[in-house]
Amino acid sequence: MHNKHIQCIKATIITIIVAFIFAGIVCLIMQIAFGQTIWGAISLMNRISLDVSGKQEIETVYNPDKKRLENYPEYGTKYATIQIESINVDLPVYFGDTLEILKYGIGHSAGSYFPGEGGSIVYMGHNNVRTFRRLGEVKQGDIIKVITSYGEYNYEVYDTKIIGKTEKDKLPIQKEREILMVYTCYPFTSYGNAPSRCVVYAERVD
Amino acid sequence: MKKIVTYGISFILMISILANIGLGILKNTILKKEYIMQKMEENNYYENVKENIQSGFENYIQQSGLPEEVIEELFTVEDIKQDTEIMLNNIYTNENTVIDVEKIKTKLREKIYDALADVRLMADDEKSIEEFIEIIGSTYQNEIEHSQWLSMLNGQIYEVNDKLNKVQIYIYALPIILLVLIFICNIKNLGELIKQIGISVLGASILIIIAILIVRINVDIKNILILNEATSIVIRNTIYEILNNLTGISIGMGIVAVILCYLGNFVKINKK
Repeated sequence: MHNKHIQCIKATIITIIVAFIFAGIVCLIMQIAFGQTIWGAISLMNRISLDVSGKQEIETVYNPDKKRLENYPEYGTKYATIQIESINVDLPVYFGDTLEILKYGIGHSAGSYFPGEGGSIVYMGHNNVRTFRRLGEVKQGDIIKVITSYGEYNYEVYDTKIIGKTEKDKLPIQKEREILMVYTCYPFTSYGNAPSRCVVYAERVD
Repeated sequence: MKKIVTYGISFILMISILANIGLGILKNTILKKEYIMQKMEENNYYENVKENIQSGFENYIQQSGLPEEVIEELFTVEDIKQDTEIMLNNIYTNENTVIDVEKIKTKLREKIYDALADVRLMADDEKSIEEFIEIIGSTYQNEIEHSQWLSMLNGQIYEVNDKLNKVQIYIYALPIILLVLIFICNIKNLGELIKQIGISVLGASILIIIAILIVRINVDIKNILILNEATSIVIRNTIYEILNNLTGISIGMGIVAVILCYLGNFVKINKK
């Protein structure tokens, strides 16, 4: 009886090995026939996974020889402060221009250059009281200060304009001169969806 | 020769068992509207979406010159549930109903004009206000429908279910046919029959465990982000639940299979 029991166990182990072989054959067939599809699907799943844990903030560094930043701020993060003394503005500037960002301060258009890079910089903010309600009072000669994590930059206002909300050509992106364009919705006390934008143009002076 | 045929049938039986389990899992989870709605309820989907929508409204109120109260209490969680069910019906039952946001827009319009009762509005103001109301209506609609993406799914799950319904009878019947064939091949050897069933079931459970391990190790499930956090939470927890169910099924199958293998061998050895 004991011998039969041992024989049984040995036979069962062999049977289990056969089952593993069956499984192995299927895995091999799947890898050969569908391997690319399966790993492609896994890769796709991981591309839609956003690991925000343990991310370290990378310091933004300015390279004066190349006149550009070495590490750009992460989208949605605060990287500067804008000060306009003439209208008592002192607000945080975030990289990015989504409506979610504008709830917290001034947005930096992702398609424009950064202070110090020698090109067009576009900032925007709401026309509410705590943001740019008084932007229309800014006049020629006023100084706009942008204090970034990598340096301080001053811009002197040379023009202000009212443009249509779709007139993107009035906010040209170029890299010959360092121009700061700050805009908000206009009229300042309109109700609903404002049809125009008030833009302040300033050129770097230091 | 008979042994080769028996093992061959056993191999196909293993695959058919997998197909049945896969079909059963799909039809009772992802392909079932009621299951998805239950998961949404369990994961506070509707409350989370309400917060998203309200946050979306707040994106526009700051620059509108309107008091913030006008965007409050424009809809309830019940409204979101009903509208989400419309969206799911479009995906699962091939309907093509559009979510009606007129109720929200009408309520918003009343609140705005109440708030501005003492203000003399020009024609431009009224036009801007109407644009604002349209934007708020669209914000609500887009947050429910995610129309850009989910419209691609409209009717798709219905079609998948339809096709599966046509083939499921064959998938269900196949293991029975294969069992009959193994029985015929081993008509005088009950132990071999039991052993072969054990091999197929064990092979299927091993494959399920391998698949679960591949998914758990290689896919970053906890950080999946699709559309918004509310949807992602439902998707993540649904995936976890399916994986946990499959783990339980495969362990149970494995135990039963090992017993069948032992039993089959026991019958064979005792017969000698």
